[in-house]
Amino acid sequence: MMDDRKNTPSRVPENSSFYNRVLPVVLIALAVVMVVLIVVALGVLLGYTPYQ
Amino acid sequence: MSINQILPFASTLVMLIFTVSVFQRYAVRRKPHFLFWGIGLAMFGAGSFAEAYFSIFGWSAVVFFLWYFFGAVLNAGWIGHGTLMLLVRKRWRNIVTGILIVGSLAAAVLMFQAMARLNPANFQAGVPISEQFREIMPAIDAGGVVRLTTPFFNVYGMVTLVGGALWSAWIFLRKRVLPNRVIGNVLIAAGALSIGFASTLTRMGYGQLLYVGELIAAVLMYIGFVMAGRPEPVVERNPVATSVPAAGASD
Repeated sequence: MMDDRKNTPSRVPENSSFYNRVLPVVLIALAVVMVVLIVVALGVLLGYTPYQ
Repeated sequence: MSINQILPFASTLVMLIFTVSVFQRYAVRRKPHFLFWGIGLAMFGAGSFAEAYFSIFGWSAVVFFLWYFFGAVLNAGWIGHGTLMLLVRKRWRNIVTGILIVGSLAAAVLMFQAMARLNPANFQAGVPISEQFREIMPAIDAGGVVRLTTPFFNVYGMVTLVGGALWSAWIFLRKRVLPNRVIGNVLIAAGALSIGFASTLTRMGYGQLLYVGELIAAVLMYIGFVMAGRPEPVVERNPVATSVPAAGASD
């Protein structure tokens, strides 16, 4: 019998406030932190950020 | 033992397990992104091991080389490059891989130049190396040019590893598929950001948080890697296209 369930991905729950609300906010927050760290590192390279 | 002596051991242990897992996956699947992740994680582990070594045995020039060159300069770039291998076309992969290798070799030359000018007399036993390496390494204008290379590798690693993981998580979330990869990639991004944040603080003179950041990074990224690569629970019968590459996913 052919198992048509193979290679079938699971789905994100439809009515989950964790996936619908919390995770998008977390993703945006992490992206903001990433940009801040990159700006600081570029500031070091360009001499604007104190470097020790 | 103080907490700053214990943390590097914990990080080293986690990174050892993590690195072996990734190399095992490379041995089975022969995908180049596993190879770069494995090399980068081994570098991360070498840095953690060096910190553990310093806390027990004291000064060693070779261990300092391991700590700074692999732990501070290269590891983020090489781990992030593994993610890049998943996300771009082969032609770009080859070009950027060449740049990474040449850049790493150039950094090695600069590191050897700095090694000849170290001042080990300034090493203090019991003080984390992240808080005292500035007194041991030469200044940038006195032969410590390798210190200028760290932002290049770390920014590259940050953009590719964190950016790639966030992008993958967002794509899966938008397509409403593979929740384990969504969470796994979020954890990978959060782990990479924790070490990036701690490293930035170290660079600005606050090295006390580096070891905590390393342990958090090691644990979060390992859990994220395991989650993203976990076999899918079967919940429905309608096939959905999932050709989106995932940072930290098993592929």
